[in-house]
Amino acid sequence: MSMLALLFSASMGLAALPNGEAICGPDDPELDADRYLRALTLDLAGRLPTDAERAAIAVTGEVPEALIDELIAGEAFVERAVRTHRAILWNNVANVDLLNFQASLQIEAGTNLYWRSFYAFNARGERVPCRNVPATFRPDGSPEMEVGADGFRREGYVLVHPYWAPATEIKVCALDAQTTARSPLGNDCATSAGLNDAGCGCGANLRLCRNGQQQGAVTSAFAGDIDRRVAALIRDDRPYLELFTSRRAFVNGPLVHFYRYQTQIPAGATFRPLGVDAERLPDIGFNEAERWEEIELDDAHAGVLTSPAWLLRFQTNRARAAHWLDAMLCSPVSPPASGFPPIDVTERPNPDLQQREGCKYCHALLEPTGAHWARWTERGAGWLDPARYPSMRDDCKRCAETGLACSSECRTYYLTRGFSAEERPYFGQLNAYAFLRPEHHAFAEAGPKLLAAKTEVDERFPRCVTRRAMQSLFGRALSAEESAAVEPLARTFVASGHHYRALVKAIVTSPVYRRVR
Amino acid sequence: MKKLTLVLALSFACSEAKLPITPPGPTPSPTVSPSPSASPVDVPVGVGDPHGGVLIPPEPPPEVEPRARRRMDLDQLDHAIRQVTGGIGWTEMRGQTEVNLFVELAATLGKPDFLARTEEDLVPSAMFQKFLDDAARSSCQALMRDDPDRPTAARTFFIEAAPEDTLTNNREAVEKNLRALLLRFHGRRLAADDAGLEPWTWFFSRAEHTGISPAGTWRAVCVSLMTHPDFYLY
Repeated sequence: MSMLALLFSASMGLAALPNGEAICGPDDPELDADRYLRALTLDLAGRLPTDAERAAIAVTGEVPEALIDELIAGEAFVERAVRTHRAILWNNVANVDLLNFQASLQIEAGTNLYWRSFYAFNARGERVPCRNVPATFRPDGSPEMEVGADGFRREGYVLVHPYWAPATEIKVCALDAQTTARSPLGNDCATSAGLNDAGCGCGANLRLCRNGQQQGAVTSAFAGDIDRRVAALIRDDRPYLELFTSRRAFVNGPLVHFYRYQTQIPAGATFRPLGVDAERLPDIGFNEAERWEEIELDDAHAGVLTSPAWLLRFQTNRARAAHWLDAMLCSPVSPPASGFPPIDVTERPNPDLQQREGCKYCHALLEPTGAHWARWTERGAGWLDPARYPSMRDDCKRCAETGLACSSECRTYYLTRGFSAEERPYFGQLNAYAFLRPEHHAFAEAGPKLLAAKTEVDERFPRCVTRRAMQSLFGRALSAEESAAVEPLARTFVASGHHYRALVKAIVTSPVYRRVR
Repeated sequence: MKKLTLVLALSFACSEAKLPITPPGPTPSPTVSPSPSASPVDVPVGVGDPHGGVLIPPEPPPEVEPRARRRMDLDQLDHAIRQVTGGIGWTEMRGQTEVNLFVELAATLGKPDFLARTEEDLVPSAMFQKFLDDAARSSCQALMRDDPDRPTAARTFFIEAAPEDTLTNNREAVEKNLRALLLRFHGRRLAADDAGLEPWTWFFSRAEHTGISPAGTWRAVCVSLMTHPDFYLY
């Protein structure tokens, strides 16, 4: 009984009131069996109780433990857990630009001709499509070009079965539909070099290009991969840490197609160098978006922490570190409660954010934590294999120090330019090594797997997982009283071997869950 | 004093009598918690006392503060409405396509996409109530149309009564059906003479008095059950 109710009944005497019979009292905070069952089925299965479940408790007057076990073992619980983890992992990358706009096929109104606008400038001299007539070809296989009244050279079209709808046939300008792997100029047509080369087309079945919805299918599949990793973990009742260490991943048609054909033509985000062995992927057609297959990644991968959805959702190492600390350790980086000290504007700011006034409170933690992703590219999801990309490269150091032209690899992955003298000692090292303390180099080389391994001895991890699970069940942040229940439940989680189902069962059978006002 | 009585009485008032009023009796004495400053005092009770002679009895475990109820999320609500209606959702036809309005209005109703919004808004706000009301009217309308045509065993609304039953012509069936509906919609199992049933029979009779048909009365009950906090809070 609440304090107010106690005070009221004590001082007034409810039944003594003339309208006492019409006044309702507060519910008993201890859920009765029916309301407890209702809460359990909603939380564990996302639904109301069935008639059979209600009938079962009508006999005993209590929710049997076997029913709770059954709910937690069910597929509906897996779906609820996936929903909960979306709120933790934020696996939506629908806003990421994966495919270069120059590889976009557009449709000309009226003729339904598919053609690439930017490419047309190089191929036809202006951004115009081809003629709406079947193409003819020269003996060498190249399309015949005809100069029109407007002075532009144009070819005809060919019929193609596009990869996104292989059962259909569309009209594609012959130059855009070229299937050659290497142009007469020697460019690899599957790379960005082929985009502006008139001798390169979209490849067989237009596999190098896109039209409209294909990018959405890929970004949606990245999110779906995370959902399936979480579902597999819960369904198989694997230790929770495997979410951050496992090499399990899932691919569908759009993902297989993207990995095989489209990662070398980067757009906003880059997948170069590709961290997945495209040759080992199962054969699934692009249009088989509902067909998912499990794959095993190589040893560098660390569960969701190296998944494309995580790397693209948090595109810098600092963002990756910040979300890890907040989502999985419940330790968001924040400045001191007393606020920032006054900044001396006459002093040059320290380029090392771990030491700069005002920045150091967060960055002293963010930089070493973010270093675990040193070998995963920022603004993308590429993997820098140590065999090819050592932490230090002499050629990159040399070009940075001498001013000679640096290679594309040096400019992209290594520190070759600095805005201050303090950065010079780091020239020639991987970007993530800038200002990294020597004792943190091991983080960079071991990767996110080490970060996950550390959680085994970090007491914050089980507490945070417990807190997140409780918040999900309670629908809000925990109150101070509810927070007191975290510790014993976290111990149960650890004692269970980090099994999420055991944790949820411990929560829903605890007094803090069953007492509701 | 009268004013205080009124304020306190109002604070307890709700739309229905949920539990029997506490019977009059001796005024309960306030709970006394051990003073936080009290500390164990060692008292010598004899040589070799294995427990060290602490005479203060162990404190009872602290009573767990009840947690606040939570609102169903949109997925739960969609599922719950379909369950109590036997599969009728809050949908509308757009051409040949049936659109689930809980999906269509997800962003408006606070469902996060984890890009622009990362936290789910589970506040039973005025906006939520408005759309829940729309959902209830829409699905209850369809339920009143479909349920009477279902085999008796498959009915989800007219479980113990017929659509034409009223308090006047078949009070027993109406009350039995209301009890079945309260269990199905709210998870409240009421005995035949439970005071918790009274607000619903009162509501039923008020609806009847407006002159609408018995089917209209049952529809009002359906909407009322679905928009009641006991449905969407748990």
